[in-house]
Amino acid sequence: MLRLECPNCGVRNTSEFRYGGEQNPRPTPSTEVADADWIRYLYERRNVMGVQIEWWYHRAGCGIWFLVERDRRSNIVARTWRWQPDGAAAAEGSHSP
Amino acid sequence: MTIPFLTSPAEGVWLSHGATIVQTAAGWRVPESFAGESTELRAAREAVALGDDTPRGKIRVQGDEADALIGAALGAPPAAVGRVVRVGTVEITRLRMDLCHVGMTAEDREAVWAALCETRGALPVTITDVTHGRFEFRLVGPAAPLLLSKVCGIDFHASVFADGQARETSVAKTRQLVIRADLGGLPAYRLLGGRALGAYMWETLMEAGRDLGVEAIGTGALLTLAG
Amino acid sequence: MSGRRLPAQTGESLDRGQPLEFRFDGHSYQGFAGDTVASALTAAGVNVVSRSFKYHRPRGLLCCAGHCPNCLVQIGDEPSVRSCKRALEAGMDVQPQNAWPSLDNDLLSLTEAASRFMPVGFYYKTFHRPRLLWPAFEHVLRNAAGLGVIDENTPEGDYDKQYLHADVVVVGGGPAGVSAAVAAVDEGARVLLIDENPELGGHLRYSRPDAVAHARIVDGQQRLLQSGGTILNDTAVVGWYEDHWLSAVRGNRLFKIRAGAVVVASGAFETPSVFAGNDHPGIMLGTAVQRLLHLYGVVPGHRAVVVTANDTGWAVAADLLAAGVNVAAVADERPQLPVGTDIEALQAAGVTLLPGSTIAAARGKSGVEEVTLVAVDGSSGSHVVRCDFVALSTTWVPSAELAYMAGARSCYDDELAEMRLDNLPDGLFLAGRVAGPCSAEQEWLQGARAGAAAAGNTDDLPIAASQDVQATARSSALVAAPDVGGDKRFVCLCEDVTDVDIETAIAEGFDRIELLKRYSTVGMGPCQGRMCGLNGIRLCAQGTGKSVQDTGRTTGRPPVTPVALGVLAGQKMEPVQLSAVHDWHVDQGARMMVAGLWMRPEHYGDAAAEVRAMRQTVGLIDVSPLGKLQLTGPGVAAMLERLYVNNWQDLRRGRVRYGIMCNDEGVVLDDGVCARLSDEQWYVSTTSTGASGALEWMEWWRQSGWGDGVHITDLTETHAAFNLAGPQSRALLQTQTDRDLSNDRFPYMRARRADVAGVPCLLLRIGFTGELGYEIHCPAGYGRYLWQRLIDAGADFGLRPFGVEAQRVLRLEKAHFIVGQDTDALTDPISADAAWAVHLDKDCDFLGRRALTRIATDGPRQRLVGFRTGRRADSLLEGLQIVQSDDRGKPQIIGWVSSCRFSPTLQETIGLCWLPAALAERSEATFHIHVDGRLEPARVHHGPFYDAEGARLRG
Repeated sequence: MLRLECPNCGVRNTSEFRYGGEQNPRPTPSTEVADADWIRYLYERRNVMGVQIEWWYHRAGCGIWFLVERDRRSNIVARTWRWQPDGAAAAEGSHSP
Repeated sequence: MTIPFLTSPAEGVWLSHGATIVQTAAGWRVPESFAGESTELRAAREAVALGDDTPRGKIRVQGDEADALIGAALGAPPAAVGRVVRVGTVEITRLRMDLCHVGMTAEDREAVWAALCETRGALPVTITDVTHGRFEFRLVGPAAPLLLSKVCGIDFHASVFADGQARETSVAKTRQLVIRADLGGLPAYRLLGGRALGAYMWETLMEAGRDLGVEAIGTGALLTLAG
Repeated sequence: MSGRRLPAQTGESLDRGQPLEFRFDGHSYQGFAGDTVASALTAAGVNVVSRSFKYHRPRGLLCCAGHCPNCLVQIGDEPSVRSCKRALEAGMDVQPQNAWPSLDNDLLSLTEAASRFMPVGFYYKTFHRPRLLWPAFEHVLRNAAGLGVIDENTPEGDYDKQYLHADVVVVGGGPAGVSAAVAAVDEGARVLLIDENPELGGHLRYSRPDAVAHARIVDGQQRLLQSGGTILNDTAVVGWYEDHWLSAVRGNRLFKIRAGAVVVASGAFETPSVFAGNDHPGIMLGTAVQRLLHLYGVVPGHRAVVVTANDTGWAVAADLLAAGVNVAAVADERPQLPVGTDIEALQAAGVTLLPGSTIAAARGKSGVEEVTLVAVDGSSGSHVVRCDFVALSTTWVPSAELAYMAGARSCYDDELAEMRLDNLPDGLFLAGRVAGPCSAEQEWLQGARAGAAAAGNTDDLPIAASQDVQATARSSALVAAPDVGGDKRFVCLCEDVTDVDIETAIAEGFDRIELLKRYSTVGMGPCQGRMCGLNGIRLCAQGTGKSVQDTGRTTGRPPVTPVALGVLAGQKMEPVQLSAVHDWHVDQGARMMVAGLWMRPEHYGDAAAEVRAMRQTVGLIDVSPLGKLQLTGPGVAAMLERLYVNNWQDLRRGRVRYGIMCNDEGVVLDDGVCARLSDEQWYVSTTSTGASGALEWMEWWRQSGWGDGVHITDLTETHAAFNLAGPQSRALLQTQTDRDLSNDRFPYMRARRADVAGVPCLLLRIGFTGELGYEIHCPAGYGRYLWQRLIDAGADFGLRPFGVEAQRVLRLEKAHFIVGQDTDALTDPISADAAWAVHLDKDCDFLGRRALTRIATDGPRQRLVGFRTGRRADSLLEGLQIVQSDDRGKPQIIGWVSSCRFSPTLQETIGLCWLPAALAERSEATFHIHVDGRLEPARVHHGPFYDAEGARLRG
């Protein structure tokens, strides 16, 4: 079984977590976004063969949602961190494996 | 008017294990004994025993200022995530940077609650009494880590999970807070999980511990162990 | 035959003071404590243990190491037990498998006479047409095939699992493994040593006793245990998964092991060679003979032929000689006889020694009686030698399944005629024979180096490479013995696949190893290719003209050895959530139903009576499973505005409002009432089964930018909740509280705190059921007490508890939908007749706004609407389709029934259904529901069926 590092609790089996899909910021305000962008947000997933930033939820643990930078070819996780309002706060509070 | 009584979610399953039930001053119905104190103590000292501590007070303190509030109200701020700070009979366990679990005896609950609420003032901190929302079980004995390793995937080796540490993790497919709080020199754990799962959890732990010689332990024997 | 049990052997596992009686195939036998079933059978003179899978040929012991299919037996109700690994117990009832009516007289062995009509791929070629007859064929084939008998009355076994953690896991307790474990523990690592045998020693256990090597094992074991290491005996590691996650089985327990690093020191095993009649009972591997001899003091016969290609066969022959067995001949594939004390002893005893020779054929009736030995190069004549067993020591295969699963590659070493491993993944280390032939000293050195490296010591400890070892330990390079005609030449004993079958399959185009395996079934039996894998690959290479390396190997997958399904299932662990009142419900004879993880009372015997009581007097239902979230902080109203389609900013303290939560597709996710208890404290209820999903959804938005200053606390289990409803509910509740419950002081859609029967409660005056009612939320510890108080007090008011079924009817009479029952993953609130809750004019960008704006503009295509039938129509069920004839008279599906019940209140069957919007808008319009080929009429109904004005709720 794969393991994943929760930024709060540390390394745990992936069975403790729920996968939340690739990071997909909501375009705002929703009523003014172009149709194409809105459709992309709602229905189109990039599904990259490579590095993806994705959401995970520590369901059996502390209950936080966090972001994971994972290479989907190798399952190597470069970093995990909690979302921060300024979008660039990856460094703070993150565990680097 | 009859005096309200309070029940643990495991009451039904204690009865099937032959419990003698008494009511505490606070109204909780608790299992005073099961197979008899000597049998229960032997299991705790030589194998593993499972007791019910559900009446213990459980208060959740949430907010970025939780540290400051707890430090001011209870005399010691929380330690790192996964660590327990003990102030008298009060145990402060940090679950997240912004969230702490405060555990205490049933008798101390009102005083701790009052201290926290009075100190809070205008701090943006949420204090919630979740005493009724969680069962609290006690696993005591040298085989307790072994029993837990049958229902939980984390490492219970003393080198990585020692007395005074805590983990929120999956136990028997449910979310639990596991706190190592040794008792009378024996390895011991508190298990706190959703109240509605109490009966399931009790039965699952007893089943998992059968080959280890697990016994249900009453409040009487637990008091004896605590000395 | 008798006299197979030898005097006590050094290091044997037997307790000869403890004889054990057992039965096999209807006869009584005796063995000793410490025997396996197979060794006891051998000692008792039993040669034929099983019948083969396809031709039902008699088979005897082959490997004695738990690999091959030959020793599979039924023990009691347990099928397919490997008798060579199962310890003998007193009174065991052992039955042969795959033989009828008995092992000696198996009628199905006649299938062999028809074997020329059953070529490779026989099933594929024969039984697939005519297709109609397949069920008949299948019945016959299923009875003829298969191994063992499943007893459906077998009681549930005690299976469990355990999680283990170690810095270094060592797989294999031979010299290399013990050495690795000691080295790792010396480096300070937490070490777990796993071995499949009852005690450590690996090949030392069954090879010629060596006091020095044995002492090293004993010493190593002590050091390991003294340093805190753990040893698991009798444990098979069966799988390797990502991040060094291993599965292992001991008895009825499954271990899930997280390792920092793994040392694979699992050794190597022998495989048989391909020659005519190579499956006769009595033909076994050299290591099997050694195991019987040294572990159990048993010889499998009295006159032996030994066939070898390396020095191990000579040791077998010398050991047999020393045990008093007449060794008739030793054939060594190598052109020159080796030198050494074993050869000298055999020469002195006058044993026929044949260099450059091998076995080409074996003959016999129920066991081998004579063999033909020929020159490997066909240069000279053949020798026919009488014997009653044959030891084959020709070919070694590394036990590398775990390494392959971990991603290691195989590469064929032509010099050695053996598979080697390369491309080892990080954290995997090899030591000992699995990595190639090595001397006893090298095993220790390799183990020490691998153990230290696995524990993080990267110093390069030297290991002397030795060409000598390779020369004395190489495997046979013969793909098959020279063809001298005669009997079948088996490659795969599990599936009875011969070399001719392989050649035919290749000729038919199945010339890739993976295809060849699937078509010929070579390697698909119980041994999973352990006995036939290398021979199959070599034959494929020969048949296709490719090299062995280029031919490759089939993919190995877990489990390495067979695992009982019970082990995979483990301890029964199905979490179930029970309300504080559960025991009361059960005591009252409630029929309980599963709702998510919760158990809920469906009814207490008569749901219709429960409905009537609630409408006429008062009812009480346990709604503890309702999701209950506390939201606190200054940002709650703003957050709810974004998560729900409703308005919240204007909700005043003490008020309750029904809310619907949608996603950005406008799809209804959840619904419930929200109470504003104070400016910054809200109490939000969700559906029972959607509670955890709703919490995770809210937490995601809260933690990703929409929850500024909001704290969410899940109080679902903290509060028990009961709904007291019915015309008498106020009067009843008033007897238990001092709070003024009059309509003026506590009107509809209000929240109030009150002590009820001395318990602090939160009361919500809401009405899912359509009557005056109070949802009572109390601390769950008081739940049992408070419920009883309400039941007792209700006796004077005609109170009756009701269950989920009555609640479904009651809400249907009010035409309220249930999320997940009447809605699905495409349902929006406008189509679901809840447009009144959607506030598109809100000044915030709430979830679903864009989609709902569009639906509101275009109008929904389908609508959820009520229907009535004017009669009792019990044939109408939820899920039925609604049909309408099109222009050409052809029936088309236009909708479906999502809820349907007979209403005891209205005395007719009513429901909710999905209809095209145009039809749904026409009140009283008639449509038809398709029931078993009939069309049942129903009429569109708008609004609640009962108390349309809601006077009863608000009164």
